[in-house]
Amino acid sequence: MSASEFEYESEEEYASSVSFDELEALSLTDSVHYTHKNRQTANGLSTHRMRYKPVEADEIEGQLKAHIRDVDSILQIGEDDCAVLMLKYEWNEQKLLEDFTTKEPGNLRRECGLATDTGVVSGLVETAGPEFMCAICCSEGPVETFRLSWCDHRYCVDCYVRYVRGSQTGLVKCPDTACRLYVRPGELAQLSAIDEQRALQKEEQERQEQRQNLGGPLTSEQIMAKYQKVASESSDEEDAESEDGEESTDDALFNFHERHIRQQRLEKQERRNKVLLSRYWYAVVLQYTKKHARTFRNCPAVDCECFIEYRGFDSDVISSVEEYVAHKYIPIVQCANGHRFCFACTSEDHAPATCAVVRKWIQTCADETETSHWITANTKDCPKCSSPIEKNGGCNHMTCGECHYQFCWICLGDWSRHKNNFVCTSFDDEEAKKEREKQETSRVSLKKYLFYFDLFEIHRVSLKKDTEFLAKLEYKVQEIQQRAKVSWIEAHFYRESIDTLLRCRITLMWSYALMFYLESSKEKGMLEKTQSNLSNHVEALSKLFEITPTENVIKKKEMFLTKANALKTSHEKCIEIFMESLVLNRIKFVSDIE
Amino acid sequence: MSLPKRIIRETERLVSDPVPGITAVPHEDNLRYFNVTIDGPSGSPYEGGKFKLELFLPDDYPMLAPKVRFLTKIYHPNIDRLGRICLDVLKANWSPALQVRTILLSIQALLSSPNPDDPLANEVAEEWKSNEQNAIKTAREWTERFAQ
Repeated sequence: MSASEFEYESEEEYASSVSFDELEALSLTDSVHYTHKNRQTANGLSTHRMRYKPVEADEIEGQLKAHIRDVDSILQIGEDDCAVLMLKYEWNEQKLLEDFTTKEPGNLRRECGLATDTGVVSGLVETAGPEFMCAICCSEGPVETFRLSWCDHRYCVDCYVRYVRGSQTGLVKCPDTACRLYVRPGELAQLSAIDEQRALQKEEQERQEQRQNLGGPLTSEQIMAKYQKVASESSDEEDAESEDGEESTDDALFNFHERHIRQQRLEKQERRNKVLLSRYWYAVVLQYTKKHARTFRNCPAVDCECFIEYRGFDSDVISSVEEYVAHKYIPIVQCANGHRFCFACTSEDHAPATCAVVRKWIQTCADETETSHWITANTKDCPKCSSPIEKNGGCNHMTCGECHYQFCWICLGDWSRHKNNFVCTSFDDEEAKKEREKQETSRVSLKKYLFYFDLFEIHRVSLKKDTEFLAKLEYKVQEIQQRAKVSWIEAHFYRESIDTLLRCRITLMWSYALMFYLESSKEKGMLEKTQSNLSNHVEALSKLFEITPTENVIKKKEMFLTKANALKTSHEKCIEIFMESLVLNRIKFVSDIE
Repeated sequence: MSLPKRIIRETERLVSDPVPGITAVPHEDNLRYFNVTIDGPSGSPYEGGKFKLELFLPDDYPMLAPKVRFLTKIYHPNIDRLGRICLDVLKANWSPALQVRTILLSIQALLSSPNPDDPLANEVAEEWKSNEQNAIKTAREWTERFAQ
């Protein structure tokens, strides 16, 4: 929505001019994102935008819990039982309500792994006496055990925790195979709590042991000695690093940065994995989103636990993702962690290439057909035994290595006809003509493929290198920023420039793949111009990152901003122009793409 | 690596209190690896046969199911040419409360009641469904030829 739409004379006028429906829509826009920025392209083409919302696992978890509460307000069987029923019915609320009213309650509960008894129970966690033996690990009591509310199958807490942890879904049965009861969230919460408590105790115990090993509290001399030892060790390391010169310092910094990011991710995962209950709910969320795959997409980036929620279209014409893709739109979405991917095919950002082009391109690159293309273009078959032969120099008098047949490379005729004369005389020979034509066509398509493949590869490799290189530099700039006492916001331009550069490289990369499938036309020529314009801007910004020493980067802020802005504008325009051409069918695909 | 208590217990019991018609002997070098024989259940086409199997307890046992396969050739809709077995308790329905003993009993039961509706060896299952007499005859022949 552009700013002008909000320019009202006064508050009152604004408030009174908005209906309730509009208000609702407005409040939606706060959290809702669009696949592209503007409702209209610069040329006035009105576009259809997909609405979406980046959500995180805990948000969905909250919604699911609320959903369960809602259903329970009707069923009145307790949220725990209700959660199991909903999982069992794969969130089909209507079917559940129907069965709940028609089926005999005892049967329904039995079928869904719920006990027929209800009420408050305690003593799930209990210390069993020496007569107890855990059927899973065979360790004997006294040991802390756990059981479900309505069965008497006790196992030691460690085994129970390991068992629940090993399951990938939200529906976990009691380990006893004759018992059909499911572990309910409330019971799991108890198990989770005791597990956490034990983990804490263990940590504390380890700490105490360490302290005991040290022999009581340290005296100040001991502390000083310890400190000096650690300090000298770390300064040794620093010396060793600085001796290796510029390059390795960069690497060290980069590694540090990488490690930092990885560690953050690991910590987050660890926290989730550690707490049994949150692990359980994450499994529930995954089950739910997979069941509702039309609405939710799990971000495909490695270790990313974000989701995208589909929120319909900003359009009267298009009402489904399939239709949207069929119109050659590309629903690129961005998750809360900033990963961009296609909502339709869940591969990484591939605009302006359509999903069909991406599929085809990946297949083409992987296929051996291109290898055989090369063989047909660069080799000729021996006219007698059909072995492929590549001519790697020398005269046109060929002798097949396999069958020793002698022939002419130009006309593929028997060499005996050329004996007295080295100029090939049978140019108009029908056989030879056919052979040549066949080779010509395959050569043209091969050249076209290799041309675009090279461009695609160049950008793919640059993208990879840039990502690594810029991550290093970024860390360096952060350091400089801290040293020069520049505020974070002042140095933010750097991060933004990197993002812009990487995004544009992705766009360029895929635009070349798209080009391969387009028939030559005036429109294609125009797209090529747009493309080369974007390419120039990318190179211009990319060059700035070569500035050394890095201290100068901050000084060149103005330049960065100018170039990055120019690139951004060019990128937006580029995407728009491609989109117009595609959506309005102004550009023809080669026949085999659709 | 030391052997978990659970495996020691199970092995002891398999030796001291064996299941009729089933033997399971751990390998000398690897106590997680068992040589197993199962006698063909009476009343089934496998009657009179002695079937060899191998059984391995993975590191995560009992959280993961044991790995079992037939070494003797057998004509059965739920056992394929490589001796792999299609049995729910070895896959999705595995529970750490199950044991080697119960698994072997389940396999023995599978010999008594083949389930051609959930096949692993498609051709065998096809034959079993279209011409049961013939299938049982083949199974008997195979038992005589390979499982003696």
